[in-house]
Amino acid sequence: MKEEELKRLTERYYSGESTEEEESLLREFFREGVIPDGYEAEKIIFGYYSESADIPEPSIGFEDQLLAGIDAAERNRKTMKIRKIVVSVLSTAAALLLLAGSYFFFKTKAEPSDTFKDPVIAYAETIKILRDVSSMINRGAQVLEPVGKMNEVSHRTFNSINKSTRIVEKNLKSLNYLEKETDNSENHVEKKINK
Amino acid sequence: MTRSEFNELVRQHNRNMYGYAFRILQNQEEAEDAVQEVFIKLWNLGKKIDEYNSFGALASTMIKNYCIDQIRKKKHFIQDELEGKILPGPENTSPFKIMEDRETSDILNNIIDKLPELYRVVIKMREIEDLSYDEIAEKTNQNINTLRVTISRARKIIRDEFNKYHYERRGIKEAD
Repeated sequence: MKEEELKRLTERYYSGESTEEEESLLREFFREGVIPDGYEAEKIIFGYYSESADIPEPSIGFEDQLLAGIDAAERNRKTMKIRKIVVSVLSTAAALLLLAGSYFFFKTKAEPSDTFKDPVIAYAETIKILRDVSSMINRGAQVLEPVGKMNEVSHRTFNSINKSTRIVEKNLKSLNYLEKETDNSENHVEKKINK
Repeated sequence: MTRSEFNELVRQHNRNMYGYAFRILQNQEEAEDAVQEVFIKLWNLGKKIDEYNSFGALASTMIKNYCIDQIRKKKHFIQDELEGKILPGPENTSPFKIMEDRETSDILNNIIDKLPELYRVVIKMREIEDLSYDEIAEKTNQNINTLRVTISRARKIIRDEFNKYHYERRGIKEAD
């Protein structure tokens, strides 16, 4: 399109005098043609109209879906809010229970109370318990008796080994004496022969 | 804000927001999901929503940011799918380019939204829906001459306002 023609059509367009055909020509030109300086705004504006015309209609019932979606999100938010409250209430209750339990536990432990009011019964009970303990210790000692016997036997064995060792030592001393005597007599004989 | 007041805002703004979302995402289902998510976020703002002067401006900012986030996520997903092999995409798919284009669209959206209702209606019918002058005259109960005057005024406002915003923005960029 020549610039003069473009100028004429654009002026008619803005003054509201253009026909539908002339407007179609302008749309076509701004969509595809190389535009001369000074028509940048028209190119963008016509491009915007053309782009807007290409936007498909949203789905049927889109508006209702939007409202239903907001309802659902709202319900979800309320549920989450209630859940948060319940969780925080339960957590607080659990913490309080734990605190109360600990308090009573330590309080009971810290203040020991008498088991028996009558000291005679308490004494009798103590004696009974000590007897029980004593009989249990005796029973344990009986079980350990064979171990004591084994110890005794090993002790005896060590003693007899010691005795044997001493006898061997004595005999070895006698043998040493005999050896010395033999050496002396041999020397004596040798001296006599030499003489 | 009561729920019924909010529902009224949903009715007023959902088509515009869908338009914003579609322009960015280029997918009907994703655009509808985006609008749903943003309306839920807006409702969850609760009382804070009354602190904003314009619900429409807040909603369009939120939908724009949400959609750009979605595109970024999608790009990451594609990159992950390619096991880290990042392929250079066409220039017009980069979030920066999309954002720049969207700024222009935002300006025009805002200009058209702010037009007097009759101007807005006739511009949409003529420029976007491509209805004939006769059809528009019939639908809006105007005679053709009055309609042509109305359309002429609306077109001039759109051009002048756009030039104002556009050149202001260009001036700021050049100054940077």
